[in-house]
Amino acid sequence: MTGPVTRPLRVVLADDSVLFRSGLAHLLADEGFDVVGEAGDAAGALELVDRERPDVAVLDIRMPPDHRTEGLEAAIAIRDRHPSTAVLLLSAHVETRHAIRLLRADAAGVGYLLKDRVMREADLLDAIRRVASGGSVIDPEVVGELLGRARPHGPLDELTPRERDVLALMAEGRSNQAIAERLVLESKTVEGHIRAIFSKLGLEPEPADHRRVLAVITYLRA
Amino acid sequence: MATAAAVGRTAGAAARPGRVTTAAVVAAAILVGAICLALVATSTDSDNGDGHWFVELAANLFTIGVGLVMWHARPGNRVGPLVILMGFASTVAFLSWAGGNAIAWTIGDMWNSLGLVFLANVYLAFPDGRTSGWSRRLVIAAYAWFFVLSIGRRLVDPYPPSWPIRNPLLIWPNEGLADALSLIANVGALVLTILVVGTVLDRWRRGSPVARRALAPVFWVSPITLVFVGTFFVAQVTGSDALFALSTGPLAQLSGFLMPVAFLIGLLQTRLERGSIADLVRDLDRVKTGDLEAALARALHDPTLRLAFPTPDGTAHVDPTGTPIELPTGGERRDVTRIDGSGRTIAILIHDRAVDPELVESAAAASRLALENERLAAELRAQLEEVRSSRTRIVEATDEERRRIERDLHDGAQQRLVALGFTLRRANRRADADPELAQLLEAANRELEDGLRELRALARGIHPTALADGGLAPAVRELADRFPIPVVVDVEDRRFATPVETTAYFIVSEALTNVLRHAEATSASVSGRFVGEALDLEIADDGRGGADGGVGGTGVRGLADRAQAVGGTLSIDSPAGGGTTVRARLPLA
Repeated sequence: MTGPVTRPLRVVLADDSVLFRSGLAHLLADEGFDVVGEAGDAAGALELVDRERPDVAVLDIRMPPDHRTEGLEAAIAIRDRHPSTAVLLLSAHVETRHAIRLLRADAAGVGYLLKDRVMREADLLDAIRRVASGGSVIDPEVVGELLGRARPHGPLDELTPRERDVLALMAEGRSNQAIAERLVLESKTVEGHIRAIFSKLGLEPEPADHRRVLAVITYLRA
Repeated sequence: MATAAAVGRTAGAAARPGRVTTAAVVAAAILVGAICLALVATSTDSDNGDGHWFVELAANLFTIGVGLVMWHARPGNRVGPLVILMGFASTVAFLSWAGGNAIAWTIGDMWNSLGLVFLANVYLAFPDGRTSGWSRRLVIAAYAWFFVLSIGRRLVDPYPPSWPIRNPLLIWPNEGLADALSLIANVGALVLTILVVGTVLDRWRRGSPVARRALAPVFWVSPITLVFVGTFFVAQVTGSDALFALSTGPLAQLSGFLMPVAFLIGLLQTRLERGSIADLVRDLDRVKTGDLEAALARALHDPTLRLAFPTPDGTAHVDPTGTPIELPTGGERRDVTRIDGSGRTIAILIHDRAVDPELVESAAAASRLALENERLAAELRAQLEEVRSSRTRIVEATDEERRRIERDLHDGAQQRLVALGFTLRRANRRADADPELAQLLEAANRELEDGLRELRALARGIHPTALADGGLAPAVRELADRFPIPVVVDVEDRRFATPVETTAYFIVSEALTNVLRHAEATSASVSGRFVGEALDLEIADDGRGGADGGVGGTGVRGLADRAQAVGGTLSIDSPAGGGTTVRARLPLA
């Protein structure tokens, strides 16, 4: 999906809390999205996606019957079956390993967002649009936790504060353009920072944004 | 013998036959013997040419004597009285030599079979004097056989006209019926003999060493007796004079002496082992608590011996390890001997019935003090076991409660607050015309976000979802990720039972908290490995060490408590200046 979105994005929601689901559905409808279906569990979500082929499926990670990682499994299954449907996974807790599993399965068109984030309307809508257009989204809090991890002295300490900011935005799945806008920098400057970061961390440069996310997150996680 | 409970018996309660009883039995034997001797001697048709009937009478009186000795030696045992009765029956049966006296001969001939029935009873009740189950049914069948066939036949049997005597009991002469009953009686005797032999052989095969010891002498003498008994009945059925002569000949009479002696030796066999009780007494001060059961089993030559103690409330029993144990309810060849002291049952011995009760009593007397100690120890162990399992239950209930609270927070409060956030957002959109209101709503939303973040942290602290979803390894890794100092995590990624995972997680979490609080460390490590059927945990830091590993350190005490609640152990190694290492070993089952 490239180019400007000319029709409303078709969205499917899955969460076992009716309260949350209807709140989110209202919000998305207000913002001009087309909510084509809601489900209360993973099996229902899969069925709905099979039938509706939406642009985006927004799934809670914990759903009946066991309230474990049903949403994550459903997300992976959806990406496998319907490459044209992007997936945004919502989690009540920061759980990096779930984010990494999702990225590993298919880094393009997937997102992992903290549930609270949906209240920051702009962030949520931005995330849905980004995954719908094939990008990847990692919640800033996940990135923050990974970057903030205590670790023995190493290459990360060699980064300048500005380079760390760029690294964090890369990890969130931002494009060069978005990073430049966010940090009020020239595109060229951003590219320079990125080259420096990859070189300092000893990583192979990754041209595609989503591959870059996986590389950076894996590095921070190691 | 005082029977305490259904199959209970209290050591030392059986009374010996008194002097009067003994004298009466002896007098009766002499009297019956003399009467029988007189009747046979005066019979016009007595076949007393070689006088071997005299030997038979002597053997019968000898049997009564041996029975008396047995009764004295094992007062609580019915074998003695049974042998006495067998002797009397055989003595009366001796009247069958009085061929010229119709009444005497008839009675004697009838009692020949009664002697056999008593013999069968002695065999089946040997050595403990009791019959149950199959052998009890056999004994009943034997007595029925005697009364119905042996006595019943006399009522219809007209003796052959060639005989010098008439049947004094005859009420309805019917030769055909008499012959038929006679045949049935003899075949029945043969079947009975085979069944008794089979039962004794089976008992030998399945018997405990102590039962075999008692059975051994009887076992070696029995074939001789059986051959003669069998020959006698075959002679009856076939009418062969040669076989009849053989079955009543000198060899047969010799076996009449051997049989009671064999029973006597068998019965007293265990008595001859008194030396083992002396060994027990000598060994008692060296017997460690918990080994008393084995020492008693050795002394009484019964490897199947078990020791049981009543629980303090008296409703159940436990073995020396504190494990509940069921007392035998009869049926099996097991006996229960209660050992009383200071007004209550101290201990219960569950042993083979064949063990001499007096020997049991001696052993119990010798070991009463040790048994009392053993009982107290067993009681303590049972209480300890109960405390341990109740602690495990409490810890499991607490963990379950934490999981439930976490779930409630997630599914309840958290969801509602998020929904509230949506509402605030929507209100905000409509407040465009009122910037002041929009600002207020924005502030409310920020408060809400902060509240949600705190709620999330709280839920994670109560019970991390990673633990339930992914197990110990991911949960520890996430814990380490948020830790302010570097933590190297090396935990095998495998699932365990929930109590083990939860316990391991909270030990790691608590130990790391201690590192942060006290150790002034710059790094820490957590490892979790399977060794055998246990999970070995190690949490180490490079801090200043010197942690109090004893009961004084409440944090450490709490860790040890958690480990012990799942049957594990925990130790702490914290030399001053050398870092602290907490090691825990949690069994997986």
